[in-house]
Amino acid sequence: MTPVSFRFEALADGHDRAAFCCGDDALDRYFQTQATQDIRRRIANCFVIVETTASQVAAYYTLSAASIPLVDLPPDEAKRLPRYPTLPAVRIGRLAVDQRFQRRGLGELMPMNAVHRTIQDAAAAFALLVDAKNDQATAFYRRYGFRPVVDKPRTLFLPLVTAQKMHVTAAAAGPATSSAADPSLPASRYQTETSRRT
Amino acid sequence: MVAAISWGRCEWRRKGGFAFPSVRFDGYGNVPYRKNCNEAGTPTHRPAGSAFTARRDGASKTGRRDPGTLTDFVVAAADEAACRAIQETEIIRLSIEGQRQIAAAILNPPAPSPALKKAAKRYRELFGME
Repeated sequence: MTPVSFRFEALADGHDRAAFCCGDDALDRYFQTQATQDIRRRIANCFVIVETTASQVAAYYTLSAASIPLVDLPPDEAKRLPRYPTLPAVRIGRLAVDQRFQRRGLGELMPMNAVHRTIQDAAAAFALLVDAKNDQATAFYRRYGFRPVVDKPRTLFLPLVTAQKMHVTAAAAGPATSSAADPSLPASRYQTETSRRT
Repeated sequence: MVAAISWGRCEWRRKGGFAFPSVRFDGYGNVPYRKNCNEAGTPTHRPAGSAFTARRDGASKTGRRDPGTLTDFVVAAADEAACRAIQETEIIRLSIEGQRQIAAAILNPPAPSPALKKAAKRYRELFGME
């Protein structure tokens, strides 16, 4: 494979949206016509993977806020929850990879980027939600530990504590490139949370 | 923009010895341009498919010619704002089983799957953690 490098960026005016083609008309059309409007109205944020040499948009995903009311739980179960009656979550509404850049593993990097952003976010969220378009997408997310919600098989969620664990274990096992940054906010927050739970 | 409005052709009403134009407010509380008004000065230019047009169609069916009072505008604007707020923070309603599942996942978060660990490692190697 030719050596190409990619970079995550927030969608901006400089990105070439018209050339994007993932093979699904609805996802292409959203990116070309709707995405910037949603950012402006603060309904959803859009992040892109840019191929750095030709500065082409290789993939995009959107993040928006969601909340899950847990109002029907009996009081003894609800009492143990960290937040009641609604839980804040972050939702990946759309995710698409351009046809020219498919089958290079970009799809799995976007949920990782979303986890990374959400963990560092000022407002805490308990889970990452995704809307899977079809069974293939559902199977894709399930591999990474996203679980379908029982009533909505196309909506999957990943608890962010699980995702934080994965980042922390990866930091311990991975190369010590950013060891100085390791005891930063996400790691320390994770530790305080585990100690509180035990 | 008040200076840009031509008041000439609109109907003038008299109240307490004081003449004032019958131009009504638009949905944002501003006085609209004349080009968006009919002869009587009633605004005709509305966003299509809004709560207001629904109200206007309903009003014309019930025989009222003009529903364009300020109260209607306020109600319509409140409707729209409420819809927008719901869109922005989408609420995911679940059955009791679904709620139990979510609660259990928060209290006992599962261990990351092998694929997730691998993807996280790859992400770190490509982009770091900053």
